[in-house]
Amino acid sequence: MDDGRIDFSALDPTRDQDRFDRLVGSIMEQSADGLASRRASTSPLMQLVNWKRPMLAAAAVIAMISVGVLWQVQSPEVEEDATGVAEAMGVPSLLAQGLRGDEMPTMAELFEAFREIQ
Amino acid sequence: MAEEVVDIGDASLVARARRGNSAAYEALVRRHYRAAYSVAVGVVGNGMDAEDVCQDAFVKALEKLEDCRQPEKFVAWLLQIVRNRARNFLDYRRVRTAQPLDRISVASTLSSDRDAERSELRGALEKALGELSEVQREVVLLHDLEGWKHREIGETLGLSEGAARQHLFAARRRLRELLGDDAVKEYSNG
Repeated sequence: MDDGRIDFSALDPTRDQDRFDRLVGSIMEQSADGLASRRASTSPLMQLVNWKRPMLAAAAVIAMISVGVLWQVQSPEVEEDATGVAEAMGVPSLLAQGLRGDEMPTMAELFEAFREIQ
Repeated sequence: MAEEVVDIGDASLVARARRGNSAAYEALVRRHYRAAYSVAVGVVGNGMDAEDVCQDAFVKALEKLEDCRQPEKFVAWLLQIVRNRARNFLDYRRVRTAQPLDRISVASTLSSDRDAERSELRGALEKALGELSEVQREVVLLHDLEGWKHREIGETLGLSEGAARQHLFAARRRLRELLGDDAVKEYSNG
């Protein structure tokens, strides 16, 4: 215990217990709405509602990316690019076109392709 | 209600209060009211206004509870709010100079001579505290009223432990000059 301590008990707000309870009660009364809204916002339903907005935003971004990818996949430019890549990798253009197509290349086309490689 | 959470640490109480647990917030209010009051008196200079400031600060603290980044240091964060609200209160009071500074007298609620005596002591203490600097008031009240250690005071008020000790020494010396040793003893007996 500190000897030099000054007794401030006359100023102590907790000294009169009834009065202190009223002070605390008043604070809690004013805080009641804030606490209630906090309780509401942490309920499972509100959690779901709170997640709705970011989920919708994420879904919109995914949808936009998907549409873009689909559009590129179906675009003729992609096919041309694919042929270009095959050619860049050393596959003869005749063979690359054959691979891209549905029909099997004829023997003559294959000979032509091998001659192109040589 | 509050008894159930009386032994729980501040961080846990803050977490519960964030979820809207009234008992947890009430426990925080009860636990730290005196510290808040000490700082409020330190700024505004009298107990009645300090109570208003504390009420306002605790309501505000609940609103901003998500801003409390270190819940285990809730009290330091709270006292910053108290200090800001107290300064706002002073600014507001300065603007309203036409309004009398004295509030509704507590005398109307006093029920006995003892209460009247306590009110007189309270007035003398407030007047003497008014002669100290803000930081001296905060330090001496946190130490002598709330029972904080120099280290805790220093950490909370942003002072070194040595500086907190010096402020306390200076504050006590000044209060003794103003109140007299006998007066201080008289309070001790009251």
